[in-house]
Amino acid sequence: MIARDESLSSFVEAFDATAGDGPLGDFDISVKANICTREGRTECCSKLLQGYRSPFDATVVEKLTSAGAAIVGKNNMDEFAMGSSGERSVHGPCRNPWDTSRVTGGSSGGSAAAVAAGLVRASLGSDTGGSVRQPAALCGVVGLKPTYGRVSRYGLVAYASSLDQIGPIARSCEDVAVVLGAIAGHDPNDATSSTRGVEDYTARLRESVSGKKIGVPSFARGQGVSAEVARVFDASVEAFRSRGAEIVDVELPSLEYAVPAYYLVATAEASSNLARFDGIRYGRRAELDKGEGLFELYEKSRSEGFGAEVKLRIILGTFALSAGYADKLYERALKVRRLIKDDHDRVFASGIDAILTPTAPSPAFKIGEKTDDPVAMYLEDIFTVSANLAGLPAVSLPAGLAGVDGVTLPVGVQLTGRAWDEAGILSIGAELERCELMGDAKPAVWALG
Amino acid sequence: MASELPAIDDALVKKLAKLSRLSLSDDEAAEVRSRLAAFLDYAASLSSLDLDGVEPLAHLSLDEPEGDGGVRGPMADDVPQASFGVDVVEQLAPEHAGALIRVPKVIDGGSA
Repeated sequence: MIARDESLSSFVEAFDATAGDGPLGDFDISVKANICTREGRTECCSKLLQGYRSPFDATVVEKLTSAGAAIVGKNNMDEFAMGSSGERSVHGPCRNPWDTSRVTGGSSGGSAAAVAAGLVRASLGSDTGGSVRQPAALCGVVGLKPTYGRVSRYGLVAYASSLDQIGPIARSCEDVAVVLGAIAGHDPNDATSSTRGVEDYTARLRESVSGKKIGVPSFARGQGVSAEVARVFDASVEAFRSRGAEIVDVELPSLEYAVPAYYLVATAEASSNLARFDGIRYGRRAELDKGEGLFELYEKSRSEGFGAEVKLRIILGTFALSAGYADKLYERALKVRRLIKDDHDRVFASGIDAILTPTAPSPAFKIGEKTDDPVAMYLEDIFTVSANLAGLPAVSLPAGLAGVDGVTLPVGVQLTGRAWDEAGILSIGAELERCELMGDAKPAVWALG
Repeated sequence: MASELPAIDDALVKKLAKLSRLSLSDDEAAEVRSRLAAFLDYAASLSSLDLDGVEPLAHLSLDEPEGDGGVRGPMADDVPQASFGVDVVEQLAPEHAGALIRVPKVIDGGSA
């Protein structure tokens, strides 16, 4: 299985694992390298955590194993989940199975590519601002970010704790629903996990979309959306309409400010969360020169261990929280976060069942193309960050194909739902699957025949 | 926003790096300076918003009606739980001496 991974770098480690008894006995599942497994290493694709072995399994891993799934390895990712392309890993870039010279998206790039290429039936990623959904879109698979609190974060190496959720990636809404059902639920080890009961997320997959209201914000066709993505998006709107859904224009004016607000909140939390990596209790410790002390140990261990993007985000977060500027940066971002949540609450209170947008503004781009243009990279997250800021569930679905420079690439659309309505958005998503907008297209790297 | 914030110069980058317990090479510092400035430029739209009277939203508690500051979580019984043994902590630490984690000298030799 993993042999076919050589051209993709979607795995950083493979395990010998066999399935057990249970509802997931037919599932081989890989997990992102920031999810703790007792087996193997949990290095977050960072030099700083080289060789780190977790003494425990993350709650999601425990739950999958006890449901019978085989955990077959760890997936490549952007270091500490900081990136939107899958390129910023100490192991080198993740490669897109549709065209290996292109990015997978990120940060759960390896998790999405492994599923897209048929190397595994499903995988887990983590989603802080789109890190499950955007790579799912760029690789042509289904990726879901659950409602904040639906899935335990215990054993997920934290990036931004008020935004992070673990989510499943698979080739169908049904498989995503099955994996979600296995990993959802309260965990005493994560006080932010909800005590609300877990639904059967497969129960409504055959429901018709007829009569449902799908909201389309003007923002969905806004500046920066490529012509290919706009075409696929419009076709998906028409597909829903032809199946009887009511398409409603909705306004979410605060979304325009979501990306800067997101980066301020996420980096502020990251600057605090990543303070634990100091070379003392775990991870890589720098060699000290004579006369150097504790502070040099912190500084050297961190400076040698973190990559450039991680350093930048820690510094931006430190700035956002620093005395004299916190009210102008962090607090202002939190107020915008409130407006974003209020906008969504208002739209859903008006009877809208889901909000439809593209998942990403363009199909997969070439490796290296955007690394020197950080603002262009941030705009990759323009449609995805709001669901994290508002805590809402959102799923990316393959919705069609685009021809770019002679290659065929998948394009995804995103459905955002009410809090706790994962079953609702998966049901609407399953209707899009039945429209077969992807035809029989398969990626260039494809392991299943 | 730009007008309310300081210019992103070398001194500020150096100060923020120190607060973050990071040391940057000259090249890294120049890169951070230009990327911070570009981000703040990009984020300047936030300053055009009227946010007076808007309650900051730091943490979500989607299960509970709001009004508790969003910090109330489920309650757990106050009973002792098994935890990892010292042996586990020892294995994780880059350097240890028996059951103790070894660190550089902090007093008289530790420097800030």
